[in-house]
Amino acid sequence: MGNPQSKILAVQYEKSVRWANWKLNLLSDDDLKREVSPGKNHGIWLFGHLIANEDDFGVFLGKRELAYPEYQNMFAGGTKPLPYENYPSVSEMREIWKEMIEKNKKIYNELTDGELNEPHALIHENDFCKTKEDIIMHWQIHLVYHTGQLGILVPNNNV
Amino acid sequence: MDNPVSKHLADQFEAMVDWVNGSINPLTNEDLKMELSPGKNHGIWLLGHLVVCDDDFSLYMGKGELLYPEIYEIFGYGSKPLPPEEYWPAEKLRECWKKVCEKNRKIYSELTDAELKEQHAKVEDIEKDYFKTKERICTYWQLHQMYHAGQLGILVSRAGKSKY
Repeated sequence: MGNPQSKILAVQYEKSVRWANWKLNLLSDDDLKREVSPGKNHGIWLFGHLIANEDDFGVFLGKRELAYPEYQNMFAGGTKPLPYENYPSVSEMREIWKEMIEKNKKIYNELTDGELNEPHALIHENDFCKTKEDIIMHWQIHLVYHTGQLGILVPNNNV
Repeated sequence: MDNPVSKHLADQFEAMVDWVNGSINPLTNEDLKMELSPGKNHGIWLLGHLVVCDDDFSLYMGKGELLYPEIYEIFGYGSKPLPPEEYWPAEKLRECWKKVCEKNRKIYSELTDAELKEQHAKVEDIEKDYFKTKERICTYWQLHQMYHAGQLGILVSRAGKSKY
């Protein structure tokens, strides 16, 4: 069977995205404005953070340039969450999210197992993530981690 | 390379455990009593939920019994959180988490790709079973743990111990 590892990663990506979409679809634009931690991040920042990570995924895998570099400036790891009024509208973010997911599904569908062991495209000395496989693993884990945080903003959530 | 998918899942399990520990370790036993939202889940329930959800992995994989059957129901999916004092102390739950991780680390280290395609051990009706294979058990169980690790991460933030 060809590329068994890439196949499971593509399936796992679909699952992770389905989980994120389940929560995002339950959240109104206003729900996303709520803070998860007082004075710290809110749903809008978390959503933008996920978009920025789906966007730079393509760059780390050497498949494309950033589509929305301004999202890196606003939402990348290390940026400080500002009040939600400083960010793009939620409707714009929802559209960009869909676009990023479609682009990344295509990357996953074309992935080969041989590629997974290659160094990722932005590797530097002492990099925590060394291969494309490492990037995939940590980007997927990261996506579900923050999905759990968005989950608590869903009205009447249990978990 | 032998068993590349199993190897990936074993590595991913370790990465997941690292992320979970990154959320659990900064929280004191007192911090774990914080609720995510009023009257809802608190850190103790989340930690116990992580324990029982990694504990029953061995049942689904056909690789051994629960280590902690006595807490399986109270922290299971859909269980209603009780006040933190009604559960085992945080210190004991931290130990349980380490033990279930050790149990599952061994399962992952011995896993083969052929096994992943097998039906999981708790299938009753394969047509109706949501998970069907051991492969799906591995991926769903790991993603589930990450989902709740993120929620413990919120408590780390609220305790003033992270930037976000």
